[in-house]
Amino acid sequence: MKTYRFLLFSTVLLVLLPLSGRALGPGLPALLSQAKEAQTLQNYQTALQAYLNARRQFPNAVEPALELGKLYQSQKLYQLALPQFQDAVKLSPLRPELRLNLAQILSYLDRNQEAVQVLTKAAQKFPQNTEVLQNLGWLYYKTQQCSRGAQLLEAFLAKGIPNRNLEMTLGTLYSGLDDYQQSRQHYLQAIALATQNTLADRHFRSICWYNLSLLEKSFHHYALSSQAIHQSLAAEDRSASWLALGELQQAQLEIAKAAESYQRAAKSDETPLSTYDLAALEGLSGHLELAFASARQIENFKDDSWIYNFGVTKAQFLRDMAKLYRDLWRDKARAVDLTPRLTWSAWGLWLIHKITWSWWAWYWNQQYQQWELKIASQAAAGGNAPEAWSALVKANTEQPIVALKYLHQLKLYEAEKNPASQALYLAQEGRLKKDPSLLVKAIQLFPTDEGTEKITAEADLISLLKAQGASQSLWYPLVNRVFQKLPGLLTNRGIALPVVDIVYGGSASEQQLWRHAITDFSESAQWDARPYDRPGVAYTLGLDIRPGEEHWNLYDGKGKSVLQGVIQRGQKKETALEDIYQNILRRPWEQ
Amino acid sequence: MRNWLRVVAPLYLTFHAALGLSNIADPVSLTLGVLVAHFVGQKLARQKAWVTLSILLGIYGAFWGIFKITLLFWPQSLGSWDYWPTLVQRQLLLLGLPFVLFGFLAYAGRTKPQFLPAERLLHAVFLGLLFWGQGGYKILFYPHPLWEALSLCLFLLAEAGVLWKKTRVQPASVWLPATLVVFALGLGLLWSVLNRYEEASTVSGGGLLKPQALQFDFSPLIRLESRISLDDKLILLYREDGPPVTRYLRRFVLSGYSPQKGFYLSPQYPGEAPQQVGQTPETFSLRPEDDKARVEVQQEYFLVNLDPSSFLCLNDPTLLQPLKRWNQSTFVNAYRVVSKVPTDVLWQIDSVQHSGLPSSEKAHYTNYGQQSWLKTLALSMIGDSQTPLEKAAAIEESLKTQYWYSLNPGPSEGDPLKQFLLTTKKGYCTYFAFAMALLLRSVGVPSRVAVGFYTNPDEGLLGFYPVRAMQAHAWVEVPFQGFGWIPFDPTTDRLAPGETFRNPPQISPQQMESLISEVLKANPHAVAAPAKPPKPWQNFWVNVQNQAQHWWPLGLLLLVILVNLGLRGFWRLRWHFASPREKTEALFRRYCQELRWSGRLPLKSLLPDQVHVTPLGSFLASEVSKARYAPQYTTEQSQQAWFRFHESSPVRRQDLGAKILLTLLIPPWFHGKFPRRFS
Repeated sequence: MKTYRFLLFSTVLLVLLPLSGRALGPGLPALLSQAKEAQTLQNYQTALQAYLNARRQFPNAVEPALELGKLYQSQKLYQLALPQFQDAVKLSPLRPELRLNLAQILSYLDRNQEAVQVLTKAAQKFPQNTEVLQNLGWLYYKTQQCSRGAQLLEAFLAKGIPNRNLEMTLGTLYSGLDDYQQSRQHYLQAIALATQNTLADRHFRSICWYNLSLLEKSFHHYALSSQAIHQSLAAEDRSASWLALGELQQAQLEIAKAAESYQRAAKSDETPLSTYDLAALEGLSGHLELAFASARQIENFKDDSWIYNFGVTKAQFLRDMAKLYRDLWRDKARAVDLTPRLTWSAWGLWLIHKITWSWWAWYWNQQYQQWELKIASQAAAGGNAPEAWSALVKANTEQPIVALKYLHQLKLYEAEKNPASQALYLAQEGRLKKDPSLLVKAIQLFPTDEGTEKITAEADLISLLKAQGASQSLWYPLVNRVFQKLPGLLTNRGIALPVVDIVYGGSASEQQLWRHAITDFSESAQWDARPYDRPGVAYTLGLDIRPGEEHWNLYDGKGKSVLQGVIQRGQKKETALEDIYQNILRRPWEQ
Repeated sequence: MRNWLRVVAPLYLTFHAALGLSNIADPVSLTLGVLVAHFVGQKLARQKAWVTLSILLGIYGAFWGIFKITLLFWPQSLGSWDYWPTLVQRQLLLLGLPFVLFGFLAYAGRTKPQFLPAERLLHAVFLGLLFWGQGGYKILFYPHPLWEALSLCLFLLAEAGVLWKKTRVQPASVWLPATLVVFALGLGLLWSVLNRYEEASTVSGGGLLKPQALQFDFSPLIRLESRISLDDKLILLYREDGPPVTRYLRRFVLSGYSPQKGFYLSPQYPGEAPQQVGQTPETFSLRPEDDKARVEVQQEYFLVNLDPSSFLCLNDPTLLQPLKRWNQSTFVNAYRVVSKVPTDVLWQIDSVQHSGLPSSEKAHYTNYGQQSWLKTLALSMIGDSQTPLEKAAAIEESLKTQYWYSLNPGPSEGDPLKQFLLTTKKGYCTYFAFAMALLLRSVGVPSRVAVGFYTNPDEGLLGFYPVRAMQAHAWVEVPFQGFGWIPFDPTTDRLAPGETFRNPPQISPQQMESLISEVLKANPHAVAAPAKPPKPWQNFWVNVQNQAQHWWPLGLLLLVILVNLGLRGFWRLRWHFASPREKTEALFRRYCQELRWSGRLPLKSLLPDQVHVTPLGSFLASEVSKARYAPQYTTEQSQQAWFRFHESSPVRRQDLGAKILLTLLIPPWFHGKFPRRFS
């Protein structure tokens, strides 16, 4: 009997032991380490299985949810990461970093308002946690609630605990409130708190100087902005700082330098911002095909998480993209007017291009206005009235009656805060009212550091005067001026290049034939080259038609040949002129 | 009725155009605007054309006037109303053309019925413009292309309905040949359109993929095209653990060759049968002697835009496990494949002299059409190479370094391959694969062409990799004794001078995420092997079920047609066995039904007197009276009624479209409601 009991006991034990072992399974640390090992080897299926097993077996443990969330986040799968971080917060409500993770993911998903709610609760629960406060302040800035953010951080800093991160965020919040003095003071305070020569301190200083540079530029202090950006670059070689430098140079109409800075920024840029700026610059200088190619590169950036760390929202970025495409298509549709139309097929092609490109310009303008309206409503909801007014001005350029109302509000608001902005407002008012006198006043007021704004206003003035049928003597000097500084801007407006031509060599009758050909060609291509001299014209085209030595030269104002070519023997005059014209339009001497 | 049908097309076109401009257009307000224009146009049918046009322009101008006047009195205070002007102006601008155009078309069609065909033609042009180049159209509007096709069918039906009109009776000797001619013309047109579509799609699929009923699959026969373009449509996702590497996902191996056809599938040779994914697991045996230097790799495939039965795998598969389907799946099929993949083999096969193929197969794999110029070229390329590997490497190297990649190799006057190898020296992957396979064959080294996809390891997320149509690729496989078929990719990465290659944008993480999360949520398991091998009809039935998930609306339509045809058969059967009296009564019922459906009489009410609207009605009414009440009613009398009915039934007086529609969709009732008294 005893043997029987022993046998029975042993059998039961033998059956239960493995079962109990299986029930217990590997512990949580073992499962997590197994998952992490698989993750390191990029065996994601195994890693996922291990994390999911861990979540099933230890439903109250926070680590599996957190680690799984991080795995998804590392793979840019933010929608999948979100529920994991939400679970992690539920499982461990006393860990502020979990709430920070959750807020970050929400922001990656362009759900900034929800992120603000998460961090507001976190700030109530952990009022001394500076990381939570800084992130909340930053999100207040992104959701246009700058005054609320400034109050929050001021209240904390009033306790006398110095914190450089909070100082920097406060500076940003004050810049959003257009409070120059406060913003500058807090940026400088933040810089003063990062004095070490460590990597972290230098990185921090670089960001602060960069922010300060943006502030100075927005208040038209170009020299100070330039100083700040050079300080930023001295602290650390960051792509964002190169970008800011490029923008500064572009504003000052230093196109080549700006392009160089953007290219430098693009080398280490993990965002599409440098490519965007490059595309806009190429567009501005009339290299539209290059600009389109750059714009297509921007489309390759599919991960929007970079937006979290920059002072833009997704709506603002999409608005900027719509603006870029609008400008490029509009310029293309205008520049096509300069295409020679010597045959019926050329006329047909011109018409097709004109209609389709104008349609795309119109389409992107509508998209742009739509985004501006959205941004306006977001800003109004966040209590940032000036931002909303600014967006409504841009959205209503076709409704001057509405746009002028908001422009007036903005002008009143900025008059005392930022007096240097008056030229910009005048120019904008001139465009909306189609009043050349306002544009003339604006052009006179623009400081030299705002070369791009000035030259754009000049190009707009030319278009306006031409459209109003003003005498050529009024606008032709402006054409020469724009051509010398940024000739691409003229082609972008469909304004012909001011080049006079001289025909020499050959017989008188041959010269006469060439002049007739030039006149005919000029009419068809809206080219302004005329067989007579004109005072103040910057470039001269010389056609040497001596038999056997037919060639052409383009001379600049100083008489230096900047471009030359050969006229093929037996080539038709129209074809030769078209070749020359296309060469000049490409402006190879500029590149 | 016709006037109601006429409104369908303008509304359909406007609504879809507005959907296409979803960010800026409001489909509802634009469609309503067009509806107003249509009815205004119809109401002005008695006016002159210029009056109508002026009124339409006037109404549209009035909209603008109201808008502009409102702006003049626009409040000076700031408020949410300031958001409206931009939105309203945009809708007004967008409404302009459709308002005037569709309003005027409505007028023209009502005033002059002969204009109706021209109006249909215009609609067809608009429809073409609407669908022109709408790559993501179905994704925007419909969950599946079939819905798009169905909505289009409804549109076309409405358009056809407008054109149906009563014409005078035509004898069968006239309408039958005419119908046949129309059918033949229609079929010819359809055939040419399909061919054109297929060719265009093959070109846009990189020359390798060809469409099969709205999805792609590889062609089992590849030719050299003069031009191809690249489509970045997502074809499938595959999942593989481990560090990301470039993979060659094989669909077919093509070993048959003739100079006229190019390379084609030869299913009689081992490993080359057209492989389909069934519903049960399947194992493939790799010859044990070919098993050297291979590692096992497991992959899961999730097909999106590919024929669901397509089997893709690595070289060479050993196990195929279909994965269980889940509800509302985006994927048309999913399966797991375990393959044994050659790894680090080149140094091991360096000295291998033999292919390991049986002598019976060697002739097949070395057939190069006996083109002597190929052999001459191959000999110049291989120089003093001795082993098959050295020869393959030399040819691969020559192709990679002396030729250029081009999507536009240009039209050839004779043999495109000869032109590629000797003259232009530029082509796309198929040219390179053709060339290498044939050059190798010409010097006695067996080879075959493989087609499938190459993959981009940089695009992986969580072990999932997207594969797009533009990644379709062709390469070469060469057998080595003990190691099996080893892949070689001779396609160069040197772009032909003057040509640019556009790298398409990567698939967005958002799009990938929705697909990945669907797979993770479903967590599909492999289908277990059945105890007994499935019968062919079982597989067929499961395939039908799978296809039905997407094609059920079409299936429903087919069912209705089948049931109707069955009923018609039944009617004929009943007719055959019926007495002369019953036959005449049944004929009369059918006449009444056709009279109702042909629109000659209201659908619901058929009063006794109304049957006399046609001479046939009067005749049949009197015949039915005789059949019911005469003491004798003969077969001859019944037959006479039948002939008369067939000569002049209301259906015979309809257009061909109406006749087909009635025959296919409206069941004939042998018994049913019909008037008992006739006069």
